[in-house]
Amino acid sequence: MQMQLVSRALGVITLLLITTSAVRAQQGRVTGVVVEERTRAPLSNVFVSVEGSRTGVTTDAQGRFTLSGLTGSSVRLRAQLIGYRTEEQAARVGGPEVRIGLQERAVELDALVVTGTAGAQQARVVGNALSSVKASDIQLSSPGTEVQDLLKGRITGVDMMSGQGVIGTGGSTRIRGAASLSLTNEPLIYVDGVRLDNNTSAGPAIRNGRQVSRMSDFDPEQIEKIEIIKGPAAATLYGTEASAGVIQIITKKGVSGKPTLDLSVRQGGTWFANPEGRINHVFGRDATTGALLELDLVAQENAAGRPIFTTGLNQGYNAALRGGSEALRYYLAASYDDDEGVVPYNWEKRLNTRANLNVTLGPTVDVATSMGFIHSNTRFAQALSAWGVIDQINWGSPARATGPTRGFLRAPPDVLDDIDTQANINRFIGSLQVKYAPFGWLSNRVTVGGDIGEEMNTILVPRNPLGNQYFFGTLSLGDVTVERRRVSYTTADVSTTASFDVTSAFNSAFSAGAQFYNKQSELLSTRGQQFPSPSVTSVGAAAVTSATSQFRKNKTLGLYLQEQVSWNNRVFLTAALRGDDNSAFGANYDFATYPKLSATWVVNEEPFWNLSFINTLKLRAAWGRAGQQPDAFASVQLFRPVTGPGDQSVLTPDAVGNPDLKPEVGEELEVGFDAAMLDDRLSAEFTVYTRKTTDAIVTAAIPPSSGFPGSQFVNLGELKGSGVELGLRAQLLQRTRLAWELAGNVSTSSNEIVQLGVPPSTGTTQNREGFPVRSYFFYNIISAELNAAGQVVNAMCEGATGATEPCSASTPRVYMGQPNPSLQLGVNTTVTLFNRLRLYGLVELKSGHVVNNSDVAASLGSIGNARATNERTNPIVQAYQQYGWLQLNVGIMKGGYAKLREVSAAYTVPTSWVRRFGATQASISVSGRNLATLWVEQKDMHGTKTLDPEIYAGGQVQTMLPVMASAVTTLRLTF
Amino acid sequence: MMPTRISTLRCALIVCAMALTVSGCGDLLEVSTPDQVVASTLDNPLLAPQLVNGAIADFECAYTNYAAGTGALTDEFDVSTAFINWTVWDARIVPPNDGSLGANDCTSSAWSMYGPLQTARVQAENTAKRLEGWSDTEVPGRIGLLATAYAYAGYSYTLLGEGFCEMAIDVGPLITRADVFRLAEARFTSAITHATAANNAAILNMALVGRARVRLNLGKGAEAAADAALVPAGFRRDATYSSVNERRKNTVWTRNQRDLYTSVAAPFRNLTFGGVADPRVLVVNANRRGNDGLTPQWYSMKYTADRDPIPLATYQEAQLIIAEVRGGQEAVAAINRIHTIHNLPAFSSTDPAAIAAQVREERRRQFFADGHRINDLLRFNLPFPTGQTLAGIPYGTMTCIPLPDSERNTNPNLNQ
Repeated sequence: MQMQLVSRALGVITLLLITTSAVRAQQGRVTGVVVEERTRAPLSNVFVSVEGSRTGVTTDAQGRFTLSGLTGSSVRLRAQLIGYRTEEQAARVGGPEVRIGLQERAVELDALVVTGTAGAQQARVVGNALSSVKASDIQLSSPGTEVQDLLKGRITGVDMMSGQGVIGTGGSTRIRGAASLSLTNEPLIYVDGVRLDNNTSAGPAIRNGRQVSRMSDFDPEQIEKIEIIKGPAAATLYGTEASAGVIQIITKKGVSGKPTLDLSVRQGGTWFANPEGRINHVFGRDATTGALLELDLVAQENAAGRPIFTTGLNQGYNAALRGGSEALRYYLAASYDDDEGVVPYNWEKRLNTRANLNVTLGPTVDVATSMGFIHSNTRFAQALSAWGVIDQINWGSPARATGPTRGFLRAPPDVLDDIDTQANINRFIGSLQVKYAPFGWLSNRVTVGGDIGEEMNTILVPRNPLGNQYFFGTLSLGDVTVERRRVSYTTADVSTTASFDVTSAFNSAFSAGAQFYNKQSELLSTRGQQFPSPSVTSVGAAAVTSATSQFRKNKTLGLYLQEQVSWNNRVFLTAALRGDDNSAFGANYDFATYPKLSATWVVNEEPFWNLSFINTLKLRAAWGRAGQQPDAFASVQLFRPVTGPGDQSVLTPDAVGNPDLKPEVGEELEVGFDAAMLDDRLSAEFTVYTRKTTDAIVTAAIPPSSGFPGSQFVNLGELKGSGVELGLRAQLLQRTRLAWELAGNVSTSSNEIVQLGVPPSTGTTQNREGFPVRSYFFYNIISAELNAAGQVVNAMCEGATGATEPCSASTPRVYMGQPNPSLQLGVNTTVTLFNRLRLYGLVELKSGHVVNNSDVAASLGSIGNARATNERTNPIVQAYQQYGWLQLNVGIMKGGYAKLREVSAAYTVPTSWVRRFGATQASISVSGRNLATLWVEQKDMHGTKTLDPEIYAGGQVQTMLPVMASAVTTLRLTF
Repeated sequence: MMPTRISTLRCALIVCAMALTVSGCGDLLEVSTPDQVVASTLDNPLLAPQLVNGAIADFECAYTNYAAGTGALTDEFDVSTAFINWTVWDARIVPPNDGSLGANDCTSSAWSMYGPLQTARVQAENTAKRLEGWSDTEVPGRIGLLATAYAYAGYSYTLLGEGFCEMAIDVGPLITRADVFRLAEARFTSAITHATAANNAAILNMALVGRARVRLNLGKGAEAAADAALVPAGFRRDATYSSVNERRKNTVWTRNQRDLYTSVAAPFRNLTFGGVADPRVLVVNANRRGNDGLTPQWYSMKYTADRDPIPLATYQEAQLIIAEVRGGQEAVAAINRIHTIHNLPAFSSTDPAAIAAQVREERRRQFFADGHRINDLLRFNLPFPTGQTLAGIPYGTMTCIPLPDSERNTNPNLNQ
């Protein structure tokens, strides 16, 4: 009995003690969450402190914080995060949870920049234009499935060219236009400090070549931020290969705190908007009566219950776990995307996994690992050259309407599914970065890593029981091509920076570094033709087999030195010099050096500054050089193995090489400012640049009598370019229940070949001195008449001087325009209602270029199924026909367009609702892409419509699917 | 001024340090080329047989294109495709800047022959130079290989001289067709010398036929006939082909029977002698249209597969050279030796003009679709087709092939 009493007493006492301590703890504590004011996304790593005390904590992955040991009934909290305006807010001790919203700074000078700098540097130090996008923010409101989706229309001077509307294909990227005559104009791509395969011509050889961009492999959901540096002035420290700019993808990292699980589900569809209204009818003449025939193939198939295009289902699932302690932070993510295109046999299934760890090994050493594995399987539309769905439609004929092709070119669309073209990708990208700062003035960084990828491409045309009587002719006897492409990029990057305060006002930071890059690609291609039966599909089982292989390897070793001085943390001068040697340089050329100078001045922090309406103003200027390396092995005289007599291997001359070959050098000067005004309500970024490429590598034909085939790369060219870039962002309204932001960017770019060094190329696309790179030169018939017999008379052409002259055999090709847009405009607006509903729209416009629309040209010309060609009443078309210039000469069209690129509505679900099902946050968004084309500069040529001006930009392509419309609903939950 | 000097010195030291470090890491930057061979590798004597075979392969690829292309240019073939880069050859309006004419990769274009013949010539010449520098110990069978290299160099020169209006050699100035033939003659002479020393009858006879051919072009009839008389009955040297890949295929066949781009022209159809179908010009009506959907397609059965060889040097050619040079009953006898081989009735005539005409007719038939016809039309001043092609394009005035702009615009000795 006594024991029971004692026991109960102890229990009561214990309970009292626990309750009391809990109440005390509750009374001395403030809990809360910090979110991004616009997107409502939780912000981690925000330092929340109590004003007037030393108490402070950082928020965890969910933006949550707990301040304990507080006294008094209320405190004033201060939340600070680089890149955001500091927010102060009162909170009741022991009261309900506090929500602090941080507003992004219009211009943040203290944010760390890692791209193009020797170690991370504050933005205030960087003398060139800084461009970045916060992928995580974009994905919240307007989620995309491709990295390109994050950049389109958002960055000044960056032209993300769309690939065709086939799931699995991608486009090219141009930063500040073309900077090279013969070499790649694609920027370098890095992920977490490691150089990647930036190939935009990967995948199987489908219509218009290989169209897969390796940039498309990444899942935007796993990206935190993308930084872009635009030209030689900024890219000097990347040396050879960097003159076309650099894109760095920074993936998400772990945040200390309890584990947070983010789940998202994406469901939607992709469709071909209004094919009936956009695809041209095909025309012909009745062979007997001569009557004009017209056929609408899209309508014909719809009426027969066989629609050519369907709506593809898009779905994606993403899970990410992040958390950890101060010593070890982790981010683990996996996503699976399953997207279908507008024909049933076009799909992509992609798995992205990522494991990022950040380890703090004491006060001086930080280690970060970044590992991503990608597996994807894609089946393409437009499977094989000449056998794409658009080929069959565009070049159909009413004369074949009653035949087996039902009016289509060679095969009706439903049998194209027989051709199975796939790409299977396995890719690993990993990096290890160690930062060691033994002293406050000395920091060191080592980054090693690589990108290892294997691509298996298959194009299979199975044997058909009808053999070569089937639609695909001899291909129907069975034909398979299997390619294995292995690519590896290896990066080793070492840098050290020593900082000294020379005086109280002057600081000096000296950096030195070395980088080594090794890239290697192997392509093994095998082909088998003629299978014994439809079930046999392997190369080895074919009657005729062949194989080829290709190997490319390139290495770069670079060293750099940089000295940076600052005065009062307001004026910064940077000088750097990089030296590079590269395995592709000629034997007679030692190494390349690339200097750089930059200066910034944060004017608004000067004591004399009294323009209070401008709260931030950074003036900047940068000059620098970067290179573009020659093609691998271009300097070496090479022979290649071929088959000789008796089917024995022999050697034949392959490339003459150029032992004097050196990199072409891009030199750029840019001047500009970053400013924030009206208490950050208005911000502006302005840059003007001029660029010159010297020692430009051009292709010089080899005299055949030298005995070598082909051509030779020589450093003979020079080109120049310039442009203006302006970005504006305005907070038009900032009320409790309504906020409205309007942002825009506009850029111009131009280029001109100053010196070519070799005879100008001939044909429709030419490099000529005084004109932009790869301009279009065509015969241009200005006017013509038809006489009573329907014959062309008085045809007048544009002559060499621009004057009109009678068309003749000696009429010259004349300049018709350049392929790259000279004007780009992106405008986006965000309206936030009740701090929960966010409406977003993005319009993108490109203009100032022409496209070589060879679909239109072929319909009017070589195929001849356009209305104008068959009516024979259009004197210009008839004149082109008469002079034999019709084929591919009437497709030059003004290429400008404007599209509603994105529109979305995102709703942040109230926390009270979310908690009912155990989550801490939830949001749902509905977004659409490419839902409307707002403006097309030239809609048709002699009545034949352009399908989509966007797909022809940058070069001649044919029978591509247009960029497709899509809409998705995305649900996000955080636990 | 002192600070400036220090600054300059520091800059110089930095640059020097970087230069030393970077240039000292050459080994780190070495790369291999497993699918290609660096030129310096070819200086290895062990590769000699491969080099000679490489020169032969280059020649054989060029030769089939030459036979097919000049066949379309002359009266042997009509072009039965509408592709413009083919029809200009049929109509003999090939401009010097024509892409096909200028193409210098053997498989890159319709009639690529100029560049490939030049490549074959240089390959054979360079191989011969290498072989001259090596010893018999280093290269077993060196003299025979040397003879082979010179013989194929001689044939490359021969075709460049016969087909083209003018020529440039080794990025040099313009030379005449006769200059080219003289170069060919010299190479054949070297080949004969070495083949004799090596006791290599096949190359010896090949070089004898070749030298007789160019001596005929040079007007050295007696010397040509003397060479030809040394060629034994039954001798035949072919350019060999294979189905293994496009570069090794007989393109006279592929363009005629696979691609349907060429159709045997009327003058070569249904040829008989003494009522007997001439087996040298077997032609069949395919009873279908060519690639253009318009031209009636006639197949040449001289070649029945893409792997069929093309005669390069034969006893028959030697006999016809004798017949052309000596005329009279010696010619009749030579013709009849050939007729016997082909089971054709004997030819007889005492009329010198008729005999000369028959020699030309024999050459037309004997050398059908093997690249001789263009030179015979030029040598004998025979008419090229006139009027218009089957596609309705008026024939141009071109006879020999113009030197392509790809040479004229890039050769510093031509474009000054």
